[in-house]
Amino acid sequence: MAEITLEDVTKVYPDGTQAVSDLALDIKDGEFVVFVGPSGCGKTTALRMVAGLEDITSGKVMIGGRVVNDVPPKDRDIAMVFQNYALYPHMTVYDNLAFGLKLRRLKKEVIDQRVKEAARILGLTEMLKKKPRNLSGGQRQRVAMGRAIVREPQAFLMDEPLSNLDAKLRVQMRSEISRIQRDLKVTTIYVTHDQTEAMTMGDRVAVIRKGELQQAEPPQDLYDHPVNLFVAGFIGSPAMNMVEASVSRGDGAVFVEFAGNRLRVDDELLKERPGLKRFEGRNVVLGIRPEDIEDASLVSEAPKDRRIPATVDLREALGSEVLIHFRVKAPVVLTEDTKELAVDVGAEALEELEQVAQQGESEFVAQLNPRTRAQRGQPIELVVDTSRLHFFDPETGLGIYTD
Amino acid sequence: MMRTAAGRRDFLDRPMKVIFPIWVALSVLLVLFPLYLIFMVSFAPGRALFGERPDLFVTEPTLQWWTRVIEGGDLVPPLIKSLSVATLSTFLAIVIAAPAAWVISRLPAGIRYTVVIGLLVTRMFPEFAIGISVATRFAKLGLVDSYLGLILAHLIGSLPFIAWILVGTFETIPRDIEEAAAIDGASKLKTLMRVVFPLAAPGIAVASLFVWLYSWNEFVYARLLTTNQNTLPLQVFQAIDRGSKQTMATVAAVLTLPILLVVYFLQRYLRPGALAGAVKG
Amino acid sequence: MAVAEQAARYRPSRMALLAAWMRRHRFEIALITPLVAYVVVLTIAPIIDTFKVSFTHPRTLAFPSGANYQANFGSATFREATVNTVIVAVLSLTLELAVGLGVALALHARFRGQGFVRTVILVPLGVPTIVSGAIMLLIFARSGYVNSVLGGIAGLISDIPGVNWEFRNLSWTTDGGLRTLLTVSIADMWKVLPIVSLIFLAGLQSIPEDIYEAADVDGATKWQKFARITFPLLIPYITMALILRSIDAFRIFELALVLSGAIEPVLGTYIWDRFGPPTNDPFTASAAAIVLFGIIMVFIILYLRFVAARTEAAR
Repeated sequence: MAEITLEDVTKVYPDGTQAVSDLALDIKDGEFVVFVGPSGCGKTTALRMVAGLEDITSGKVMIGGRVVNDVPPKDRDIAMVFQNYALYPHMTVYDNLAFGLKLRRLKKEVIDQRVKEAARILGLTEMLKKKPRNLSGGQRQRVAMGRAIVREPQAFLMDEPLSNLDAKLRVQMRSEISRIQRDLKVTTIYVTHDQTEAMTMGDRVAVIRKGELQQAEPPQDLYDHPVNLFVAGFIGSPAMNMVEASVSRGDGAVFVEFAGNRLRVDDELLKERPGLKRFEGRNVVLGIRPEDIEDASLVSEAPKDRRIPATVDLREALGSEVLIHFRVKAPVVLTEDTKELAVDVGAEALEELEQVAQQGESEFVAQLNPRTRAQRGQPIELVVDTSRLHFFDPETGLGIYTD
Repeated sequence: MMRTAAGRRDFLDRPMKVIFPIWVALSVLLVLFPLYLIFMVSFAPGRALFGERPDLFVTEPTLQWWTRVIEGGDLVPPLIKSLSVATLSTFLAIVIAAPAAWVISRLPAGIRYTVVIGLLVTRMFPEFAIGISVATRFAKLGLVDSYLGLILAHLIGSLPFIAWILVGTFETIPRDIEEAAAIDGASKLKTLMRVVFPLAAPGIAVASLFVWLYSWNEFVYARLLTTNQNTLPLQVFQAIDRGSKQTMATVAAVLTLPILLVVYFLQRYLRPGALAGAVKG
Repeated sequence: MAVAEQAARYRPSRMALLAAWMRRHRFEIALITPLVAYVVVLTIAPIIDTFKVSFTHPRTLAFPSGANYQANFGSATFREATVNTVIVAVLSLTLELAVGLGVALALHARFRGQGFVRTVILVPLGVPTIVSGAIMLLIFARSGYVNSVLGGIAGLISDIPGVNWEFRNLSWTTDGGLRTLLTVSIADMWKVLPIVSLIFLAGLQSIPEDIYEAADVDGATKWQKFARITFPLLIPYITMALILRSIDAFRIFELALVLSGAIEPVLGTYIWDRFGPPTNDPFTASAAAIVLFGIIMVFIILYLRFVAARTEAAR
């Protein structure tokens, strides 16, 4: 049984920086859990604590029901795939794969069989005699994986294994890794900063921010019911649009208003979000995903209380969809969460955010059907799917769901 | 006259074309000349060397000096002593310094820097400043004229040097390889022996050569700590003292010969890139 | 806030941390101990010892006493030796750096036989200092080879009608004076050429080609390229070579012993004379050694302060 349990795991460095705070997570046997978050959020530190490469300041890590806090990495029965692969440059691929097994004094036939099997799974059979410097990036990555597979460990720990590959290769390897993991049924913790990878690969995705676990749930749940602004803005690409809106009740329905737009909240949605009642007459942060906005002329049913007018600032044609950017005359949501999300994109993004904020406007993105006639500089009528609105408490950033 | 892209006259262009090969040829000659002399003199008959202007070339080579030196017992015993001391002290230096250098290379950056600077600083002390005290101490301990005493004395100079070079070498080995080995199940010792040292082998080889050369050529401690059996450098000095040019040249030739072989191998590994790593540090 | 409190609660005492750290790194500590012990016992302790001895009165053994330093500074030989040491060091360093740079520049260019020349340059590394001293003795002797060559050239020049250069053999090593010191410097330069030119060669190779290409496009002459690009970028390497070599240049011994001997003493030979038979005086010898050490330190500090600061400011 190879469950991994993190119980209030905390990591404080000698200089006082707190990398991980009270991380608590139960990972089931055979589960593929992704740790995702912006750079420096502590996800790699957490992984290394499970591996035994970092000390645990407080809390417990259990592998297979056994507390491993003081157990050295080599005795934890785990295997790790490093971001830079960490292959042994002076050994052939075969020896790289066999190294761990040789150390454990396995019989030569057993070693040979396991190495050849792993090579077959990963398509490395022709390369067994080569040395790492003669391999391509993708091949090296597979050797790194092979090293882990061969050990038949209780768990795989992967530290951004795909980040050094180019985009196409990354997509291909993603599915390969998923496939292998499902075939071998090994418990896996996978660290990445790419939310697409997280969403496509994980049984569950754990969003981490500044050392704290925000939410750990299956990808769809994360997408549909983000627990706070950070998760909402981090998951999903392009990112969710956020704006401050006021909630009001009238005509027997609940409305949200912002920048002169008035949207009627779907009754079904209201039933799922009873907590919204508390915010009647107050402001909330309204979140609308770009994919929940459509060109009104392409939608059959577009009642007035679902429309927003807009002028297209920027038009990006992707082939499968068209992204448009437009300004909304409502102040930008500037909270800790949103600032941090911007920082993760890059320092310029944060500057831009603050600039736009000063002008009292927000920038929205909508993902439209490619048949849209939207043109840059032209006005357009958009329809919002009001059954898929998101609401957040402007003071805490928490999502508004139950009472 | 070549003109530059800006239309200026490049005065140096033509002269350079002439100067350059001359300079290269001159450098080679200058470097090789003394070496040539060592061997030439050892084969030269006495007449060629005396008189107002000695000849530059040997017309009648002779082996008499060689036979005289070998039969006189002035060559083989010092050769053996020099060879043994050099090899043993190199071996010891590597055994002591290589693991220590690895540890230093894994220290946090600030401390590592201080330690490396500290090691370099020990090289700044004049040999005599250390030698006087060591010689007196060793005399009391009865380590004079012994292989052990000389080996220990040679380590004084070679340990910091090897450590300095090897810290640079170990720094080029990424830490995640060691972590991978740890996860694969290797103890720290196994990681060193099976992963780190094999990867550092070229650097260790270069460092060993330097240290061996240092010990082979070493003069000061040899003189301070020897009364009976000379090492080769001491033998050469003795010959100079006694004014016998040919004996001196012959012993010197022996002293130099093996090193030329070593230098030849050195130049294979010593691509200036390797040195650059040490320089930047 | 709650989290920070928790962190404070969980941070153990410094001593406990240190002890645990040492326990976990037993292996590393064991590996580094021999080296550290060796350096302490056989390098640091002897230095302190020599330091102490230098301040110990030779007869009364009183400590501290400046008697040895007084004796040294009162001795003409010592004063001469000190001056000579500085002269030789400066001469050597200048020669080494200049010629070394020239050789490195030559090695850096691409030409046929480059590999051969690079190997050849390494030769002096393989020749023991004592041997190179001996050979230089032969070369610079009154009936030595330099005189042979110079005589030959004089002869050739004299063949030109109207020119008459009478060349009498110079005594390079026995007359003393600057000439003798120069021979020591030349010998030192020869010995050290490989190291210095390799350091500079590494430096030259670290300068990316495209900078020169950009300069070509901008229209720079060879000299400009050297003065404005090559030389400034080489300064860190020059510094490194300078520091490395100055330490050794002041300590010159074997070459001086062989070539200039008693005629022009340097501190190295002075110490040797005092410490060895027949004088067997470790006291003045130690004092002289400490003075030598002091000179080296002063030089390095001055250099770093003066030149390195200048280049920082220039940047």
